[in-house]
Amino acid sequence: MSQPTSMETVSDPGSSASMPEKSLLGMWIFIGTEIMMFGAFFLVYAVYRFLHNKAFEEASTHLNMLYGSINTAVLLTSSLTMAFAVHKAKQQRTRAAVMFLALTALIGLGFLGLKSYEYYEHWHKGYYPSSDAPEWLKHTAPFRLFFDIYYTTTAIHFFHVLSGICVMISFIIYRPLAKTKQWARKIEATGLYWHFVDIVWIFLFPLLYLIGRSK
Amino acid sequence: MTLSKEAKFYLITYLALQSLLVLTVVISFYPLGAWGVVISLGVSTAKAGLVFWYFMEMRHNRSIIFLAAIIAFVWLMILYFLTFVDLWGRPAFG
Repeated sequence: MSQPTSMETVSDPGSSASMPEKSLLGMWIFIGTEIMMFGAFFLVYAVYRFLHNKAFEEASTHLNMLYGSINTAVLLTSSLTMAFAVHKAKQQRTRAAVMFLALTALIGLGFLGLKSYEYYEHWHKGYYPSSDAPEWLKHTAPFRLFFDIYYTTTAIHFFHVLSGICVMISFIIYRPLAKTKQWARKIEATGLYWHFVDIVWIFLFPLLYLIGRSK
Repeated sequence: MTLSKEAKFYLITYLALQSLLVLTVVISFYPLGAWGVVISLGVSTAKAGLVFWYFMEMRHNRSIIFLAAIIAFVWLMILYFLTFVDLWGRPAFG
């Protein structure tokens, strides 16, 4: 792989313990705690799927694959605009950075909108613990287990996306009060968080939506 | 409008990610049995790798940041390994 030759806007080489590195290190340690939290959820999923594979595959087909696919594409797009926002912030082109940041927040809101609509549909179909739940869901414990895991993981992911959007909006508002370089560091750290949330969804999507489709 | 080298990197990464998304959806319709999970997780890992390497700028980091970024994942792999040794090792569960 060839390294880009003009690196001056990307990092400041030579200063191994520089401030940007410290703020990124802090964000990575935070992400480490997040990896371990989501990792525990993925382990719960893996163990129960190992024990009830057929039921998980059948329960999964009751989710709307189209919504899941669109939302994955939406989140990937928001990661692209976020990468541009960070890139522009590091070049100290703050106006462009703010624009890309606002675009990322908007696309993130699109994700939340579709996810909320999907939850609304689940509510109408009775896919929640209630006496109105469809018979197949009410009387089969592994089906309920699948939906428990689905709601827990997607809801926690939902709040991560929401938090990311709030952080972006506050940094857009805070922009005129901050020094350009310090602001760029904050945007870079925010970018890491946003990409991490994208990675969580990259794994959630096939495990929740795509299993048992070939039957 | 001319694109900078970085912008081109990001766009190519983005196109690769969307292609892998299409691939993972298409593959899910083929009856591959146990291989379905392996391939699906493989594609997801490739996607996560692209985000990690290009969007999260890991290709520019060869230091303590790289260590901080992967260590939680390493601990997690130990947790997964031990759990599945236990699950596979007990015929009552399998």
